[in-house]
Amino acid sequence: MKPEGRFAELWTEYLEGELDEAGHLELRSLLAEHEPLRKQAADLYQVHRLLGFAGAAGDAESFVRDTLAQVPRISEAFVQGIMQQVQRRERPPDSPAEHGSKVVRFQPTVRPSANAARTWRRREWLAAAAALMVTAVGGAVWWGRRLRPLTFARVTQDAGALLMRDGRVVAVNELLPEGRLALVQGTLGLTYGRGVQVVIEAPAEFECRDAESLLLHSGRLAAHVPAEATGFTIETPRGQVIDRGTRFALDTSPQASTQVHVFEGKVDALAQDAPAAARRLVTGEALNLTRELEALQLRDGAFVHPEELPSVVAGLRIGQQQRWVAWRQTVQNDESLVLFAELDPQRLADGPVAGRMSVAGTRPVQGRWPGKTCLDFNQQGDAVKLDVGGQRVWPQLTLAAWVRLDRLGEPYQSLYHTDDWQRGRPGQLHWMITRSARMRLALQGNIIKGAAPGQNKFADADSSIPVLPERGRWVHLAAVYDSEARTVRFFLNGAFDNEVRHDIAHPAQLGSAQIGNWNQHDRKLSGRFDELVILGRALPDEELRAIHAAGNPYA
Amino acid sequence: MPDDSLPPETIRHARQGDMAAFEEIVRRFERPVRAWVAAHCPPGGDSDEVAQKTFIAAFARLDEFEDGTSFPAWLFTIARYQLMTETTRLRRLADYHTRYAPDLLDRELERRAADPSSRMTARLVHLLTCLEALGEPARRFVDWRYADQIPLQEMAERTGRSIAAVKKQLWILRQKLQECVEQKLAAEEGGAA
Repeated sequence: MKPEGRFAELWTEYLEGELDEAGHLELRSLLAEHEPLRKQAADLYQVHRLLGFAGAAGDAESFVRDTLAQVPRISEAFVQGIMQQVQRRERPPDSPAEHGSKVVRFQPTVRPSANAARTWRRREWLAAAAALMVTAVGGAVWWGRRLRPLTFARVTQDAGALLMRDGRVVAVNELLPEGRLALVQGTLGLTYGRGVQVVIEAPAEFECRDAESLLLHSGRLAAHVPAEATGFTIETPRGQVIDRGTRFALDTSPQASTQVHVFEGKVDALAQDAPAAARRLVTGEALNLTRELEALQLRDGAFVHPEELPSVVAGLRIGQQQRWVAWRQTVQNDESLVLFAELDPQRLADGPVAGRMSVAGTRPVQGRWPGKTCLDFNQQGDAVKLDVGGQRVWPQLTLAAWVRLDRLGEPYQSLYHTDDWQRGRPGQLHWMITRSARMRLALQGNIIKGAAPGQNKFADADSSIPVLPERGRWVHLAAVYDSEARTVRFFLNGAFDNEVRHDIAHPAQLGSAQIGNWNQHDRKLSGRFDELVILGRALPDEELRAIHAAGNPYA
Repeated sequence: MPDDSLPPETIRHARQGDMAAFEEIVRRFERPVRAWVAAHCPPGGDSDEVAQKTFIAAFARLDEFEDGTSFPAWLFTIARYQLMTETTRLRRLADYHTRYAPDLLDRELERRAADPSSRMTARLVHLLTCLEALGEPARRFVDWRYADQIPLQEMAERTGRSIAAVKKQLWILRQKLQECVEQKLAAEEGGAA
């Protein structure tokens, strides 16, 4: 048989998925020996793929939807927009508004395409689009008919929550549907009948089982259980936690197993692997639900608490997220910008700092805004490593960060540590929270005013107000250094705190550095780090106030 | 041909986090990007997943798009990068070539991925026009295979032919369509010259 004839047979078998191993080898030999066949194979493969693409008629809408669902959303308007569309589509054109309707129908709008490709199979495209609409509407009917809304738990706070069930978006109404729900972004506040308040933060999967319990498959949850609801139970894949009148939280994930933290009162914790060893936990205690019921340090900043959530919801409602988006654009155009880093793994990989920063340890968690990811530092060694500016020096420098701290009072909470400090290089910079919960900006070789050289050489510039009251909330920390004015000025949530004057003040130098850690066992960070901006000038007070106001997630 | 222009304010709004603006971008370029990726994605690769990653990466990097330059060109650069990543991933599968792809086809597709993206859009448009011109029986045959994804056995039963005859018919139709597309592309290039 001529090569062309054999190629026709083999190639058809190949495209139909019926070519065996011997056939693969034969086909490869033919393609290797006959260059024209290679071109023909590629031509016919592309025809085959394009026919397949065009044949998947009507899936443009689902492609768009699926794509948008995967985009890291930075706009609250996105969720609101989806929900508004859902509600609009839910309403037949000739029916009155159905505010308060609990049934949600998706009816995607199929926009006409300008593409000349519609010359082909217009009917089929339309039929397929209609079929898609039927499927979507059918799915929504399925939602409404088969899924009973929960009667024992209500949504009372919605901070940009995007909920899905079985791969479909579920409108966040007051009533939730039964079954396993995925909180894809945002934070959700639930209230149970007897006053139990539960806050669940994305990403999470959960199931409100009955009036007495909730199953948390994964994610972070905080609960306030009043005395009359004692016995409320949170179940997880690793065990269960039974409330005995308290405020507590759980973090269940593949990395962290299931952690239980008790902020007030007591709970009984029962590990799946050690069913006989229930442990009562009281205020300030935490453990891992493992066979050993390993004790942990309490982390209150790791959870969004019921009392914090209303302020987050209000912040979103007044457009704080959009305000921050606009500010982000502005700061990136600032000529004095040294570094703007969102500690979002995707932004670190693809964003403006791609290739300049590397992440060690840490865990991606929700940042200040729904859909925005940041890094959670907890373990020794959790760090972001970066190199900024090499040997360059800055006479003036402003550092500002949005963080959420868990624990204070440990030796140091590391914010930004340059690596060459130990070499005694003047101007090397360390920014941290001290054991007295004050912000510190230390520069190698600097001597603060009044300190006699050699006598108090380790005195560093500290803020005067402890950061402590801001534990467990997002806080904006800033330090403004001016070697010419020989001052360090501290700002807490945009408000000026303290100025420390120096007798000797070297220009600042960065270079190789770490965020959230340093090469010392007492320099780590426990909490979330969302954003860091470094500018090569001394920002005036009003600009610091404006930065805080633009990025503040609270109202 | 599709209109490649995009109002600058759409990009600006998308850059500021306006998801409606970004949705407009996805809707505008969904088809050409998916078609291009489909035609260049090696066997075994999920072309729609690559296309989705393209849009998601574009969203993440909108800040890097330079105003005044070609947005489609920028977008297709990202698509090429995403395709390259997928190709690399597939090649790293231990038994990839024995399961899916003659490596020579793989290389030829990679070479073609460097071609201007507009050629694939034109190819798709011509392909659909050529299919229209095939006539009803042949078009129905293609629909069964690609739109309805009917097994060859059932196609054989519906037409009263053997499976081998169905395969032969598919070979003929693919070839006809390919030739038709080439003729139209050649005519277009001749006309342009």
